[in-house]
Amino acid sequence: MDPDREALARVAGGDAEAFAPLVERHQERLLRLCTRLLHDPEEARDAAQEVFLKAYRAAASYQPRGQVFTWLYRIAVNHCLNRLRRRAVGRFLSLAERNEEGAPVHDPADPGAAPDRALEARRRWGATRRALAALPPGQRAVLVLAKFEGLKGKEIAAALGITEGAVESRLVRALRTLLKAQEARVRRVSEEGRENGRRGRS
Amino acid sequence: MDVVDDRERSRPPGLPGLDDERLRSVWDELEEPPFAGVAPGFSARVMGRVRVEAAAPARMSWAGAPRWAKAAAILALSAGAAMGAGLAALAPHDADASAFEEESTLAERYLSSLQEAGQ
Repeated sequence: MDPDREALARVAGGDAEAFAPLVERHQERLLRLCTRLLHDPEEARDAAQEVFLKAYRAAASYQPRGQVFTWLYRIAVNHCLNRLRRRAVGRFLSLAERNEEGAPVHDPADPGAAPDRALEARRRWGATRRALAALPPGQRAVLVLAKFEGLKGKEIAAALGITEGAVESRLVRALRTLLKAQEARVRRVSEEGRENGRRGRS
Repeated sequence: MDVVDDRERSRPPGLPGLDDERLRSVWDELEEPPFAGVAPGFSARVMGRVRVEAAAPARMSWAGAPRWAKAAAILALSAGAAMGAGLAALAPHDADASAFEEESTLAERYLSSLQEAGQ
């Protein structure tokens, strides 16, 4: 029997300690997924803990059809989407936004990387983060799952509970939004350059 | 949902919208968020919360209730609704009428006292 399924069956039978190996096995991938979706390491840690707790509570209702990780994955994606939606509402109500637009970019210690390479990676990630933060949660989730998690359209549809057609249209809409933002940024920079040039001459 | 290698991940999924060269370049430029790894003690913290939950008395919830309990609750609700409807049908209609009359008289008295006070 699959060790994950066995663990869940034991948890459902009242053996809470059987949950520990399951956490050990999946913590890294779940935490990475939450970080990719939320872009805030602290919030991602909280979210991953909540996801494991939700899975623990729902162990009795787990239907052994697919892989346990797929089930965990679905819980995690839904949980992070709810957090993103709450964040969007908070931004709409002008509440303080902790790590989105205008906030310092997350900068984890990377002892292995050369300083200039790390700086360049940080700069590029900063641009991606700002662009993704402007997308609606549903589009952002599709883009993250396709680009960083490497999921296929069918798998994304299953994880988000939408059709494959909806995955395609969300992905294209997300990329078009990012493209527009990119073009607007380029225009702004060139206008600023022209303006500075005029000032320098006069 | 298998783990894919970096080469596979860098390739956009075969979606028709990505045929556009500009969209493809946006896709290619997306940078992965930095991941600092799992903090030491993460699983211990999760298990700590799991143990607290396990030690706490089970919470009552509809989702967690066994099927027999859900069936019994639905049966009791239906029986209660049917009994209420039956009793309402059996009740004499005159009682309703007299209650209405009484209410009307009270309202009339109130209005007339208001008029008197106004005069």
